[in-house]
Amino acid sequence: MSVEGKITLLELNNLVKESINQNLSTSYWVIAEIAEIKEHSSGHCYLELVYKDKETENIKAKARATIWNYTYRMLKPYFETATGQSLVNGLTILVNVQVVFHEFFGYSLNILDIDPTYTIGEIELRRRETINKLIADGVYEMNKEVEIDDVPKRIAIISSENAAGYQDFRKQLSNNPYGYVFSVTLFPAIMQGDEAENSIINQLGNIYSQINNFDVVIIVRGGGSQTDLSCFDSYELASNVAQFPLPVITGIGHDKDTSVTDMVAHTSVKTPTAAAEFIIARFNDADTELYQVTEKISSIIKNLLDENLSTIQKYSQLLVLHSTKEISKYKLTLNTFVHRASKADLIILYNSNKLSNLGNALKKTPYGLKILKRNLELEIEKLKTIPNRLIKTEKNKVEFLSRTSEHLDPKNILHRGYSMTYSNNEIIKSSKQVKKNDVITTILSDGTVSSIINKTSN
Amino acid sequence: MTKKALKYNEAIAEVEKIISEIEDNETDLDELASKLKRAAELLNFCKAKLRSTEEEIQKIIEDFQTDQ
Repeated sequence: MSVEGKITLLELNNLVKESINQNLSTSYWVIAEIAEIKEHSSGHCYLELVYKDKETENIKAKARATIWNYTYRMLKPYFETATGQSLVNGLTILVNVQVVFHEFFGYSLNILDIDPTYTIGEIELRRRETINKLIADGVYEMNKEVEIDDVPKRIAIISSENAAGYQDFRKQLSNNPYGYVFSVTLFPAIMQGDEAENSIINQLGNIYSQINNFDVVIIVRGGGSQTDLSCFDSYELASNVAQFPLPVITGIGHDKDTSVTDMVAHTSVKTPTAAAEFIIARFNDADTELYQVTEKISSIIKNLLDENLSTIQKYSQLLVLHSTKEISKYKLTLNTFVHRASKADLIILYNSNKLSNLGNALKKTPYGLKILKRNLELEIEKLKTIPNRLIKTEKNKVEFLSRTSEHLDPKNILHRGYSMTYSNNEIIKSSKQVKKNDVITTILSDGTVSSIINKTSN
Repeated sequence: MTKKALKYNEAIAEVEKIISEIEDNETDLDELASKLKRAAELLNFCKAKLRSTEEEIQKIIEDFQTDQ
């Protein structure tokens, strides 16, 4: 075989290069998944991009890609700011590439630009899928339904020891103005990157093995970059958190959409500091409630005591009032008696005075006795004359009376022409006593006449 | 007077009874003083009980408030 018509490998590669340059001179927007990504110390970024079969997940196409440092310096922050996500393995991206063929290095893609909106959509899609799966599993609401202690004092915290967020959390807790004391146990874990998911799940398992020692689990991620939070959207981690038997509080610290882990957690706050505040607030609520109950009890008791005291006072007053009234009633009755008794005394006194006066008079004046004697003698003389005078007087009276009675005898009156008329044994003194045809009897001095009334008139 | 442990409510009830008896003139003068004495005794008992209860409660409240 002659050498003519034969070319070297270099010549061939140059032909390929030439051909590519001619036929694929423009750039292309390509969708690809990152299989591998490395940042070189020079600032260049080397990637391996793949295409996977949708069903089998088998790699069907593969290409090396490079982002030169002057491009990478701009693309990296642009992508991370837009997506909240750094360029990591497994991420599907939309990149603007130029096909490059190098005679020595072969085929590769030169990445010129990146469209983060595609990845955002991808991430969102995956999040939706994860959420739907958790809902379908029936675990999405589970941790929210776990009852949180009124005073979650024993805290298991998953974080990385040196992370600023963890320090913030501890500082906030111990500086609480009320002087509450907490028991905090750290379960250190890697909080970002590929290993974060398994690391956190492992620590959840460790907490579970001594679950009776804790009231609450707190997951805080410490400061640093806002990216690399994709692990908190992972189905496995979210599912573990959702089904954890203790309430889980997340303070993952992100500006963008909440992660799926946040969504399924019992309570989700923005920052580690806020997580500490949440715990303190619960303590304070319980404290306030306790204080209010105490106050209420105090006031109820005070009212009860006051009521009873006023009853006692009322009764004391009533007793004094009634018994004084009663006593004064008795006193009054007694006074009446005393008054009456003293009157009787006076009478007795008066009489005895009179008596003694009389006695004195009698004693002192024998002359008085003489007078009395004389008076007595005079009275006796008078009495002696009384019978004669009485007899004389009576005699005169009898004479007078017999004369008067003669005068009044109806017979003497009848002799003088008067008459008496009877009807039914009643004497008639008025014409109204009789009527026509009545029988009347008229008594005269020497006999009676019976007649029938013919006529009456007044 | 029996020396069984007197209850506050019983004491108050007895005071009420005594008052209503005095009020209704059911009390002889002979009994008045002894009844009054009994009522005063009962009221003093109630007052003392009330005061000691109040102090006890105050102490309990203070205790568990400082406990926190």
